[in-house]
Amino acid sequence: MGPFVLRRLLDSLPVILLALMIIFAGLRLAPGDPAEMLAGPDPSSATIAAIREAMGLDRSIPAQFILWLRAALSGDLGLSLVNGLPVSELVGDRIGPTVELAIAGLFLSLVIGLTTGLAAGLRPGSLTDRLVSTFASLGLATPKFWSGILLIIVFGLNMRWFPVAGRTGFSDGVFEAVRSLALPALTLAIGNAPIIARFLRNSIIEARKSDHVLTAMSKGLPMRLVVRDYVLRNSLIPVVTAAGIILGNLVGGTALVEIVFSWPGLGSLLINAIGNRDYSVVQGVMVVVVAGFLLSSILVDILYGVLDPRIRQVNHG
Amino acid sequence: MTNQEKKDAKTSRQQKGQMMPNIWSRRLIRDIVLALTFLACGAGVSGLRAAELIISQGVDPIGFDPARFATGNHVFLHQLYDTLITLDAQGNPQPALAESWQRSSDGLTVTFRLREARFHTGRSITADDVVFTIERYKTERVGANLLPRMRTITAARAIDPRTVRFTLTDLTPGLFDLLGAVFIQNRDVVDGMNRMDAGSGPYLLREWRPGVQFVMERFAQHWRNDRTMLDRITVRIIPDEAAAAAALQTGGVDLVLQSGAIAEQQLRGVAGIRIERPQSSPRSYYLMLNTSRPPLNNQLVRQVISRAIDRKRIAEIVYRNHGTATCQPWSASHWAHTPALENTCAFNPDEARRLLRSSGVAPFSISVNTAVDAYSPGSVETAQILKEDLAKIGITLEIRTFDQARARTLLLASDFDMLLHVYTEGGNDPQLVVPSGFYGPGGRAKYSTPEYVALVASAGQTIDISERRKIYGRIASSVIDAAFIMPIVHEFPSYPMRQPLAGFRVDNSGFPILWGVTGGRK
Repeated sequence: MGPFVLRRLLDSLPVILLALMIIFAGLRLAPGDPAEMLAGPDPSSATIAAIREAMGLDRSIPAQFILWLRAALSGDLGLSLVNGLPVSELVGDRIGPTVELAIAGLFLSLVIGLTTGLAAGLRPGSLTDRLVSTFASLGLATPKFWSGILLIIVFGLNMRWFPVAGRTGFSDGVFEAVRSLALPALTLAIGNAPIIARFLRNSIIEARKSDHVLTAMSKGLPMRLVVRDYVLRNSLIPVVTAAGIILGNLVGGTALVEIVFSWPGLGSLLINAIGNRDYSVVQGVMVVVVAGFLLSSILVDILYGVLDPRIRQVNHG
Repeated sequence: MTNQEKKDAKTSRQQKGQMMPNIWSRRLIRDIVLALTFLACGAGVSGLRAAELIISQGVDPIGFDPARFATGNHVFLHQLYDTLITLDAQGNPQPALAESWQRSSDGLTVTFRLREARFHTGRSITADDVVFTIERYKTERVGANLLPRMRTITAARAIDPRTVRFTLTDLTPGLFDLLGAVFIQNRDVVDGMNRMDAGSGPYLLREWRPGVQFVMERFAQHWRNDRTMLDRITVRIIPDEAAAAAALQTGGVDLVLQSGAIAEQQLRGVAGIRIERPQSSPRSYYLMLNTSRPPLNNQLVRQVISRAIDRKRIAEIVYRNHGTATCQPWSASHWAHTPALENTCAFNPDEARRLLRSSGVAPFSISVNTAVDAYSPGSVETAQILKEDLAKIGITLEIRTFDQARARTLLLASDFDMLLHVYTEGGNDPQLVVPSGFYGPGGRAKYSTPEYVALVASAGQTIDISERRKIYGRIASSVIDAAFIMPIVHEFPSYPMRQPLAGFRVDNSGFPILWGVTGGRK
């Protein structure tokens, strides 16, 4: 397992480097200028030039990239162009809340998705299956910001069960932390659980038609055992793939939910930084997001091996 | 010491010892009474003073440098920093860090006498700090929002530790409005303003968690501390407007800054919440025309567009009747406003058609730049109305929408046919608005004539208010006639707040003044 993970990590390095080069160049080639954003309503070209120089943006793009990469390799992601704070500090403060939200969102998605997917897959064409399909379509079609606002109005504003905005850390009390996490995690689950449910349903339907399951059933094994040992285990492989992609997306893709719930994560930091053309912060966040994607992909590969020994042999071979 | 002296001393100690219980008990009683009185007074004071105010705003501050007027910075400016003077509701200068001032007979130098006051670090404020601040605002790389206006102060000189003298390029009638937004900084700690304040204001920065909140606490050594009502101000970052309104409804916050139509609709009529609109700092929405591009280099064509805009409809639909349709740069509450001019740009499609025929220009196509709401609120909706209005007279309008960074690049480069945008300086002295990229000769619209240059220059040559009112009336009339920039709507921003709050003010630039707020949470 160790050499496999190490090899996958080493394989990821060129991907990270390439992604960063594209992001670095893309940001600077995109319209807009951080110096202009800071220079007040009526700046002269001299003022803008002076600010650009102070930010180090007067150098060529390759020179800027080499300087940045050299510093980044030693753990220094630079300073925010807008507020002058160390990017590693800004990003570091946001990783915890984002990971917390991503894990909670994935957990709820799995709980809802696996339960409903299993129920629908075991009784295809039934009322349960049709209901699951309908709600899955609704969940997929609903924009996350809209479902978030709806949850705020119902459970935050009217029922007052949950806070409407902000995050409480676990160090300030588990109960309050879970309360503040509940609605944003549920919002993410509304969008992601249907994906898992659909994958699992279709996978179960396929698995039930396979020879080994039919053999097990013909041998008279109890249905509960057949489902647990023969159907579900094989059906989980596509679900793990979906969950891995969802987790990767959640690391950098929760921006709208973070904004709606005032959740101080990487997504909202990224959106603000893009708006202000704060190149250093965007780069810093993207390092984490790309790494998050790659790590979740490695995690999926490991889980494949756990679920199916044949895959493990290929990976280790 | 002789034996007798020792005896006397012993006797004295014995006498004191005998008296001790009485003295101690009397002192004890006195101290208890004093302590109780103090506590009672304290309770009375804290009963009068609100302990805390929790505010929500949509964006983080970009550090605590008061030279930068980013939206997220507005809330701390008057709290963490002091200015030399402040302006009262009538726009008259009032003493702040400067306890008095005097203009020279030629009006070109102004000498300020500073009061005894301290920075948050504990150091006394001196004239050198004022000089440092003025120089810093004029340094290009600092990027101070006021930089173009600060050039009117050619020199700042410390006469003695408590006297500072400014030399001006001209009479600078808007000097006090300018100084009302120049926040004095502690030269020892300005390099740390990305994390802490460098001010002397009624509050000091206690905590900042980017993306979450920042906390300001009362500065007990402030020169006006006896009038500071709140002990603590917490500013929570709530980016979504609907969530901010919900937080106000559920008691999570007391006041919402940067609120818009969504929050207002959500909060209208909700028990315990009211919406204030201080009439000091309007957002002025305008259409700017690039006069260097044909056919907009033709004044008649520009007038066609001016007469084809249904300003009232825009005020009603886009700004939900919270704005007032206008022709001139200043709102009706401003002293420079000329009521008679408001009829000169009334919506008149027939007149627009007639003017287009007179211009000899065939019906044409043109584009208008708009931007996302965060940068230019309502610009896209306004453009849609404009498109309909212009289509009626045969002009085809293409609406181009950009994110704020791109929109700003195009604005600064004058790379547009027409653009819809907003300025927020209209509550100040017109001297801060007219010689600028908006209305100034050779500004972003590329408009300039010798007459207009002379007219704008004449506004800087007098400080007589009645004379200035006439001059700005003529400038507004010229702006309407030349139609290179068309003010459309003046709107006073709304501030939803909990019912008990009172004393909330914003200055002429829209920066909140919170030290006098009462009714916060205990």
